[in-house]
Amino acid sequence: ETMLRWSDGQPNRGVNSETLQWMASELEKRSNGDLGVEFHWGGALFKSKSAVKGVGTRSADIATIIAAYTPKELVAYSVGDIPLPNSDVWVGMRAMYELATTHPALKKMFDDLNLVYLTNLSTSAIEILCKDKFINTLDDLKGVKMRAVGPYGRIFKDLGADVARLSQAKVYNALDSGIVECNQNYMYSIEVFKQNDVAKKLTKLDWGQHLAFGVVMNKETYEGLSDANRQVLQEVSSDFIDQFARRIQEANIKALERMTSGDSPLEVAEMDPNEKAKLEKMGFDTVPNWIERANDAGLPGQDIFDSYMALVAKYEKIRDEKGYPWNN
Amino acid sequence: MEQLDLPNERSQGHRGVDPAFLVWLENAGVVVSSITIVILAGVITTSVVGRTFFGSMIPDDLVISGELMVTLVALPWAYITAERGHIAVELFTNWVSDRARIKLDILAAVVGLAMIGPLTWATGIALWQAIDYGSYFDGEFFLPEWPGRSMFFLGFFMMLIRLFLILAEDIARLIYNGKTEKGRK
Amino acid sequence: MDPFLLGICGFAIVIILLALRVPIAFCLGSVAVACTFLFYAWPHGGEFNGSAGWRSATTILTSNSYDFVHSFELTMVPLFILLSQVAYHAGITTDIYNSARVWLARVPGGLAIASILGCGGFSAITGSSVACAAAMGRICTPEMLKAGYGQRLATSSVAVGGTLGSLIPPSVPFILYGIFTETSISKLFLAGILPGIISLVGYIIVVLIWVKMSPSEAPQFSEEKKPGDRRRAALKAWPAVLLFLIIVVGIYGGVFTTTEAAGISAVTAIFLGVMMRRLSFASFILSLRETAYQTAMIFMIVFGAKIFVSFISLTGVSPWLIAQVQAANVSDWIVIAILCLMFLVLGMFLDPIGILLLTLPVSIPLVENMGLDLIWFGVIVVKLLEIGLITPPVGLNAFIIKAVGGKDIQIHSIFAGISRFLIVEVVILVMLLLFPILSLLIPNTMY
Ligand code: NA
Ligand code: NA
Repeated sequence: ETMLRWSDGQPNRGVNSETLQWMASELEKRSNGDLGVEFHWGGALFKSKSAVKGVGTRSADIATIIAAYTPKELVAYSVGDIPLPNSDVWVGMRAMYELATTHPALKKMFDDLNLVYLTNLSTSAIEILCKDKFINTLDDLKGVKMRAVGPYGRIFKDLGADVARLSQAKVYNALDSGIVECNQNYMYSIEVFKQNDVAKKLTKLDWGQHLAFGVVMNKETYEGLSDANRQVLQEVSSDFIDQFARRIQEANIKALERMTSGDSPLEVAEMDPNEKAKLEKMGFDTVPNWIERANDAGLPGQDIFDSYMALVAKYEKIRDEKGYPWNN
Repeated sequence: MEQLDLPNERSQGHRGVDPAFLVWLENAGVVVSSITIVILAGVITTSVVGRTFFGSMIPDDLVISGELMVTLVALPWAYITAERGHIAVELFTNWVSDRARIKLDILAAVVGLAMIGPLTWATGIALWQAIDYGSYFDGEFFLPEWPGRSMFFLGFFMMLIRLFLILAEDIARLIYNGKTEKGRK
Repeated sequence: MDPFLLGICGFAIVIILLALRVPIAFCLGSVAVACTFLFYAWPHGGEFNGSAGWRSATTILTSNSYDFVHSFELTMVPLFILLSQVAYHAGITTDIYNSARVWLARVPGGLAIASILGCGGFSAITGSSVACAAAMGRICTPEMLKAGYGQRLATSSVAVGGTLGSLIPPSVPFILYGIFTETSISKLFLAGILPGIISLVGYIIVVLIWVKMSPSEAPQFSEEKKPGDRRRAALKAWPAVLLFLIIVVGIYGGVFTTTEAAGISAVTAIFLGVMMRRLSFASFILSLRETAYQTAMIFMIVFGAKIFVSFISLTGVSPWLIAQVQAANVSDWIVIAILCLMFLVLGMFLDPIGILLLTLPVSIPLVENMGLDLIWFGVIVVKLLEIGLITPPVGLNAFIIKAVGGKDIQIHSIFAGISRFLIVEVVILVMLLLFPILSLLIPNTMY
């Protein structure tokens, strides 16, 4: 029996950890008990920041990686964090999965880091929760004290928001006391952090998602597995995408239902479509920056981006024609 | 851990083998660390004042704070080590002879080396990799990782050298039967 | 090697090295480094492979040192230390004491009560109990001795009062507890306020009873007084009040975060010191050097502990312990009682931060597993650590008072004095255990 040491920077709560545990139990089941998993949650072994190095040096066999923590090392993979109007979880994850497992630049990047890419995660679509206003137009962002992160945060900042970078765990307090008025978050996560207790206006932005967020394995560990077990690993990793996409969509829907009912419900609005188009245009305008950063790292930036967009289109088509796999 | 609050305590610290350059460097470590604290307080205050009154903040202030933090934490270590200022439990060993005391000092230095040696190596490797990859932080300016990592490595490296000197000195004290001991309580 | 056996051996070696006067940071760090290396180099049932083991261990070492400390949030540790250093050097501490002293001149044991109140006031602007004892010990103990107070009362009241330093916010132990357990630091700060005040009142009651029973311990103190002295003295304490308001109102009034409050209050203290011409350039530099020194020393221990925590996570000792406790099927109260006893025993020998970091990896999973409130448990832990500061044989606060008080002071008379406060400490501890509301009332009403 092979015991796989699995490190995750997040605590053992919520959709992510539940689906990762599903993956672990499937591995065990389908390998007839040959592949076991031992989780180390909450960064007990090493922090998310060290995940790339930690798996590369086999401190853990498997870990969750987040490109924002090691932007240079994972620059090719960070294409998934470009703010694009690609908010379908399943489409996004499938596109990233295929890109990471087939594009030569990404394969080489993971290989150089002594990693084998297993599967993808997603934050799901980005929404804006505010204490007492909706973001109907881009002008509504001017002067707003807002907690936001990453490339999305940079765009909010360009639109005149005062962007503060806080961890999601600190936002409740910050919203409650008025240190920030608005927060960039994801539907299920708003409820997990109970932010709907202190902020009641949700602008359903359904913008892009963070997709440079995946699971990797140490190369030697991978090569040490039997062919049969590698086969199992690949199957389970691919099935994970469907499983996770289904679960997180359900979690988002249920969270919205719960938050909009009850004594003190959340109010929901959508951004004006013309304004949202402008916002999406600003997201596209950041593409050249990303391509330049990838080119600086000696990577074919334009080609990676084009391949990614082609894959997004491919899976959108599959979804439109056949629906989600779990509905069939 | 607050020996510094005790004005007379520091002079009791024992300094033996003291290459002037190292002493200067160790003191410089504390000075740079002190300056870093002022900068840190300044960055945070400016950031808050800016946000409250002008709606703008220092870009990448979180990354900068982290860089300042690793610097201010690491640089005084060699100085503290030279002063033999790390806290220990003295209770069970108060009654031992002077000679046994030197042996315990040797043990402490060896155990210290067993911790600091690997940490110096590991942080050195991490620094080398950060330079090799050109690692940077996510943020407004994609600030490079090497400055903070260099300071961190330097802190460990200076402490390592000091620990070796302390070990050599304690062994010498043991061989010459404690005669080189000066001013130790 | 069997990871579990490695874990147990690791613990044992740490204890032996501690007893042999090896610095706490080195004990934890070296054993953690060696055991982590062995764990990877010599997998259970596998061949020994040194270079692979070493490569795996390096990530653990850098992640738990560099990645850990490269943090915006942790900057509050040096900044709160700077605040208390500046407050001491600028005489803000003395003002708190003086104002209490003038008001209490006619009360029996008034100077001792003033010292305890002074400690409570200084606690509100310092993050450390030992700093509190050191600062107040230098000011209050000589005053009391000069007024003819017995040595036991003059020293122990400050040693005990100093323990408020970490219970009343800001507090470095609460910060570290919050970081290690992922609980809200601002909630922990709020949770400490009421238990801090209860402790303070408890100490004052002890002094009143003590002085009632042996009046010679605290002779009536008469000072030449002019009309308006009281008012003037009270007004002079405004800088301390302002700094505390910045911390508490700033955080809970929504002006800034805890980390920012640390920065703003430190800068304000410097500004006040300079404006009132009470912080010379030399003492400003000294404050900075001491802050640098203390921060570096604390984090050296923290690193040792962090690496040790990772190693313990690797060995699986914590889940084993939880399983044992569940299998034993004992009541939660017995587990809590055992944990308290463990903290008290460790507190007799070790310093608070060492204990905190040594015990959290095993105690927190247990407490979490029982479904108990981690904020409440944080208050219990800090209270126990504070008691450890005044229990013999290693009572850091007693040593500090001895060190700042000079050679005429006997360590045994400090401990003899402290013994009179221990009963009330136990009563308060039991109250905090039985009535979690005492800790949770303020944080729950604020959130
Ligand atoms: Na305090
Ligand atoms: Na003690």
